[in-house]
Amino acid sequence: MWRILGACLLLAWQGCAGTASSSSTSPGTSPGAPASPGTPASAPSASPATGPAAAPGSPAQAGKEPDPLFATRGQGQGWDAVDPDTASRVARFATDYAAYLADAKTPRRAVVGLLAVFRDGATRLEPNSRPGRTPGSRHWFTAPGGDAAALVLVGQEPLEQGVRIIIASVDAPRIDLKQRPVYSSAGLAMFDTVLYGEPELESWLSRPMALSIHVARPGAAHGALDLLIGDGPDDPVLVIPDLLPHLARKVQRNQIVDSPERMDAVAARSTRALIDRLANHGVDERVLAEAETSLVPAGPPTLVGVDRALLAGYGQSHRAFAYAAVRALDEAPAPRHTAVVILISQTEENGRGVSGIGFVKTAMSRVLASLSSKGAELDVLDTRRAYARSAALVTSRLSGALGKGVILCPGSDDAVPGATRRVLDSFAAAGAQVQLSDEDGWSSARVLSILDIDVVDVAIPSKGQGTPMELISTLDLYQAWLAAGVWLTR
Amino acid sequence: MMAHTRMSPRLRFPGLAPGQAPGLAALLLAGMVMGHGHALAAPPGDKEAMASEYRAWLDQGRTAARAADFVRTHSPGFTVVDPLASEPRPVEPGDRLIFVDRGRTVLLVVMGEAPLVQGARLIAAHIDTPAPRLSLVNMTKSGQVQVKARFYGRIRPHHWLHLPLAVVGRVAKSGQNSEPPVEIDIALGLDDDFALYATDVDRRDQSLTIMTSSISPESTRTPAPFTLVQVLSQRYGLTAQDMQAAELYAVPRHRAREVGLDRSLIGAHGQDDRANSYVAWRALVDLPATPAHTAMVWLVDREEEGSYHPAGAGSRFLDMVFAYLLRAQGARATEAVLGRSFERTQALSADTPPALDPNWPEVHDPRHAPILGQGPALFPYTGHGGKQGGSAASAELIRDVLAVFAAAGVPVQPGLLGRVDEGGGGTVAQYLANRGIDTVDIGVAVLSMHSPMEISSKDDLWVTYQGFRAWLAVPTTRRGATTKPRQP
Repeated sequence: MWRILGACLLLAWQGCAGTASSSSTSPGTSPGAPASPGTPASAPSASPATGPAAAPGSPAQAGKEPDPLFATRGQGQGWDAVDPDTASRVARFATDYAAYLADAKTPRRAVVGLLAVFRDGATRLEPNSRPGRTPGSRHWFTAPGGDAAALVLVGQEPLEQGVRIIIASVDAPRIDLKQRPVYSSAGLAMFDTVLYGEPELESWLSRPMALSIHVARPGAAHGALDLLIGDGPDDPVLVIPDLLPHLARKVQRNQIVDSPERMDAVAARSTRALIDRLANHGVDERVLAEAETSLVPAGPPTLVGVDRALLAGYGQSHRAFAYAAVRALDEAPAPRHTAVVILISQTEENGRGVSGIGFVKTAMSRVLASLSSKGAELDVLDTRRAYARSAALVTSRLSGALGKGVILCPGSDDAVPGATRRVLDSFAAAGAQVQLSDEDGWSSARVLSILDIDVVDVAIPSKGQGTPMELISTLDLYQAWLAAGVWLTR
Repeated sequence: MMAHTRMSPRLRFPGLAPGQAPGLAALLLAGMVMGHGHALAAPPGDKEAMASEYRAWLDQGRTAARAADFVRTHSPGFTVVDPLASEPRPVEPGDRLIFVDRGRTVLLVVMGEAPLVQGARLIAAHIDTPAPRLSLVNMTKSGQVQVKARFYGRIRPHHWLHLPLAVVGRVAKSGQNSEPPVEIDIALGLDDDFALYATDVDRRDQSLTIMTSSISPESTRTPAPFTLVQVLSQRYGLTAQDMQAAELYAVPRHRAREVGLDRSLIGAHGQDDRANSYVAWRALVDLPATPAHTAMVWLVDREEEGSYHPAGAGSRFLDMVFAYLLRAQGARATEAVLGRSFERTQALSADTPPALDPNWPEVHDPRHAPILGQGPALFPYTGHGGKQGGSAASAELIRDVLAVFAAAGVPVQPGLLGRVDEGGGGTVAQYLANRGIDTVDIGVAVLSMHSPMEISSKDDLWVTYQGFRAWLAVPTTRRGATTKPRQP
């Protein structure tokens, strides 16, 4: 299916003579892709006179003198600044990403998919290993749950000189099953559910859902039984029913879903039939109590619009940036400072837990201990120096216009102007457009800043946050990739 | 009376976009030239075979017009008759006829042993379904990147946001009055690798905003970005002027799916009322022998908007076909004879009652809400606030219907449309009853009704099919026979 999409996608941009290529997710195989996102073919200079988004050749309001106080005004913005060659690269990157996103329905699967992008030539960093610090070498490790990971590209400078970090969350709102989920009601077998994060409840009603079951099985391959039922085109799906308008007049007048307890899913004709089917999949009803079980939207992501400039898919408001960051890390040349991408989960639940924001500290400790130039663990002073000389981006869910670039939110994260300026400059060097948001609220950047790292919130703008089909612009995704590449290596 | 494009051999199958399933289109075209429907499947042997054919029906019949086309082209042994075209030709018991009006209502007839003046057995169901209907006002603007959609029937707007959508429907090209309308398919087939997406609902305005593209055509880019109008022009040769006469609906891009880990249910858009339409049509087509009385299935359009349409149940199309057949049998088709034929006719209004929702039990009457999988539900009456605005069936009719279903081994459950104080609804029953036809509501129940993913039970479809088939075959019980026999 994705190969078809890949071929068609390239035809989308009228006049761009893209040759159909396979939509492989493996890095570096796309012909014509920039050798490094840090050096895009059409990247303008970062001179403040032209501003970050100046596109060469864009007919910038001929005859008007640019106002030096508003250097970027009147210049090509968004898609106007995209030439046909870039458009075909945008399309190709979106195709690769969509193939990744199709399989990234849960945090575990999202991590597995990203490790697959990066793992070629990388070694697993064990807790007490000392692989030695070779510039350009790659390392990775995961949290015990498998839903968080750190990916490391070793730089030329020792770690004490600081590292460049992108912290990207890979979880998304979803609907989990309770421990004893099977019950019978209205002549049907139902799954009792509980919310994870803040799904936009009304948008999860009356649409096809897939069931993800992850059971730890010491004997099984990869030590676990991992099922995703409902995602294939011929799989049976589950549905959370909703009232018809005729009878919704009173109970749904003020609020469509007044309680999360209204979100139970139709699972089968009868509990017996349900238990039999679960058994056929190797899942005993009692095993559900110890399993990770979730309802996630069924089916793949899809391009949106006849111009195919947008992409709708589940869980994108975080996973899009995670993919862009890992692709950028994978394709980066040996950087001066060590570059790290840390994938975390639990951010929909305020980052608590071993794979949440706490994993950033766990991961950094292991990186500093294993890859220090001194061949031993760093002392406290060196460790503090390493942190203080580091800088991080952390993905957030921010509102902004689609197709207008990556969002920064200096208000919410209390970032000092210097930290924000460093980010702006490296994004400008990448040719990536930036829009600012003034949202205020809980931010993982604030929490992380107690590690003594300068942290700035970034996001790819999305619509329909918390719904089963979030919407992003393929252009913003592409620009996030460019921006991440420069940020990690500059 | 009106310029119409009724059945003619020149009609081509308009269902599929160019390049899609040419084999099927060619097959259907062949059927058209012969004036006969084409059988693509034998009677379903079990509920799984039926469920699989049913899903294909739902996927292909995305609009009333397409459902009507499906029926016309998939009914083996039926002859298409245009009641306006010619003097009625004599009909014999066992003759199988299809009458179509405006391409969107279909009346299928199997002539019985008894003359029609003795009454008929009729099942009525509707093939339209609630969906957002694209507003034409801004379809004709240049350079638009989004369209507004109004609501056809009662939909819940929140179901249509953040859902991959396709556009289906038809356009009558300007200056081509004698040509059938152009069938439109955008983002529905697998050839299209994109979807449309509704971002906003305006509850006061009762409209949805659907994104059709996102790169502004007013931008400084060269070449100019691609828009919906360009797709319509490239694919179908349509202009903005043509689009002034369009009927386009947004439908979910997803196909009919099996629901439940045991695959016992079916989830799809449009099952209200293409579920009972399908079952009734299948029951009639699969009648094994000539029935005692003439058996009919009438599939109507525009039920969700109150049946006000020449192709709706409120129209006189049924009267015209009755009159045609009466004359074909040598009877005088006066109002009086027509009235007597109606009086001796019994009808089932086969529409979908809402099944008991496990998450919202309080809106239902727990002892009268149909339960999915326990057979068709029989409604003695419909309406709101109790029985307001609906028709009611007589005890005699209900007894007869229950007896036939029981003899066929089909369980029937009682049904009511929710608690009296929560709301209500109606069916086409009253439009038949107003003609003097004894009518009762009975049909397959649906959960999550009027949504993009309505749920029905394979068991219900299968047993209702058996029930309808049995009911169409038994002789009509003559109304008033116990008091005073009438002469035709």
